[in-house]
Amino acid sequence: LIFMAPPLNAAEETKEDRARKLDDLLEEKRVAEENEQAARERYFAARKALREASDAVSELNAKIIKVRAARQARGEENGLMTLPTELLTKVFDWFGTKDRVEVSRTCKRFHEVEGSLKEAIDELESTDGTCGLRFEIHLLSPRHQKILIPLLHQMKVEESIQIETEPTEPMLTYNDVASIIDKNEDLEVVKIEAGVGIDASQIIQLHQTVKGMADIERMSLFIHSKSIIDEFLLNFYGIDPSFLNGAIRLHDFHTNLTHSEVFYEMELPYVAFHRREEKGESGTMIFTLSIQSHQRGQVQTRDDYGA
Amino acid sequence: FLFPIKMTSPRMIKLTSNDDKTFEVERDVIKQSVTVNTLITDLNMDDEDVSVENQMAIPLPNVDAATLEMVITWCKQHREDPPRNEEEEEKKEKRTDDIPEWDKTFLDVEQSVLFALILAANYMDIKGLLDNCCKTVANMIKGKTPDEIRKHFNIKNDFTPEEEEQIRKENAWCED
Repeated sequence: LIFMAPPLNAAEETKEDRARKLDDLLEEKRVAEENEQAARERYFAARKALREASDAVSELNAKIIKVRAARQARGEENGLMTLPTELLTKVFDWFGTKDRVEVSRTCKRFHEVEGSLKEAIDELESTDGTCGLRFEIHLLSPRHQKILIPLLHQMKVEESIQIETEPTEPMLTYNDVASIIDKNEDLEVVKIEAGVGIDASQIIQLHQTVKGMADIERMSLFIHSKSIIDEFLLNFYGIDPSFLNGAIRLHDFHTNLTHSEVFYEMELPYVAFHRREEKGESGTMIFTLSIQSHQRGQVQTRDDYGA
Repeated sequence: FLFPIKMTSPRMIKLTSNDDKTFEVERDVIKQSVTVNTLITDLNMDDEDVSVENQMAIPLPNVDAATLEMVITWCKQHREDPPRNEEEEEKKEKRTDDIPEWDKTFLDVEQSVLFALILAANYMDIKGLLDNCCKTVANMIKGKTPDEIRKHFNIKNDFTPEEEEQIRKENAWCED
């Protein structure tokens, strides 16, 4: 019997354990309640802060509206038209072509702000058969620079060119660039940028020359004239511009509109040009223009144009 | 066990609106205004020895109290924003549908309030606020016809019918 009876201290331990467990549970419950209370307080504090912030903003708005109403009563304007041209331009900068056109038709002032758009095109179109053009050529080989620079020099250059090495050089004339290249055989020209006025045949000549240079990384032409772009599409790539329904022009116009400059962009692929047509999900025609670059063995997708 | 703890209160800057109301704002908050920041630096106001009571208030003659209060509220909300990289901003695609939710609510105000904010943000040179205000106005205009724009902003059509026709012709090239 003595052996069968459970040891006394074991029973006591169980009792102590139970008491401890109960204490632990009570403590856990108390902590949980405290946490819950703290969370609730934080929630209400946050809600109060939010309400206060919202009230403050409403109050501020009310105050401002009151001030404006008083000003308006005194005959002071406070509408969109009161913004100076500089700020109106900042607002219009966020528009695409269509919205720019719509806004320019709203009133004379907006038309003046946006007027530069049409004027710029007119001015460029009317320059005795030449088109406004800015081009960038990314050159890697000094040998080809020597071929290309004199060619550019022969053209009817109206502005200076910018040769961008490291660090960026200031604007230079063609003669300056030729002289720099003569003195620095190993000079690697990253980018030549120029604003010139040349006609389409000269662009084609330039393009043909560049096409034969294997290590020219990229050549972009930013053409200011839609008629020259049309001529290019038709004569150089065999694409009837009307076939694209203005998609290239509008797309490029839209994405490249800067603060003061209006230009059409068209990258001239110098190796191959592919056109692919497919039906988009919404039934619209999508044209994918791809440029194949042989020396790098890659296909660059120019863009998708919906028409 | 008692160690003296040095409590460093945030550096405060005083700003006065054009209707002579003075606001005290944390230096860290108002640093977003290039105009105020330049003034603080040029006037050596970052000198720690000068208490806020003895500090000269920066006058903002082109901003009224109510607008300044809104500008300060915006700056407080955006104090943690990373500094803007203008070069990166220039490269970014131009879009107006990326205004943060808080700003959308904050800028959902009467038109005149919004224009006052644009003027203040431009004067105080706070690029983030100016951009978001301009985007908000641009969103109000986008997709609207000239008539709808006139109605929305109470603008008078001052074109003669001949001028309207001329403009329509001018823009015909970019219409579908």
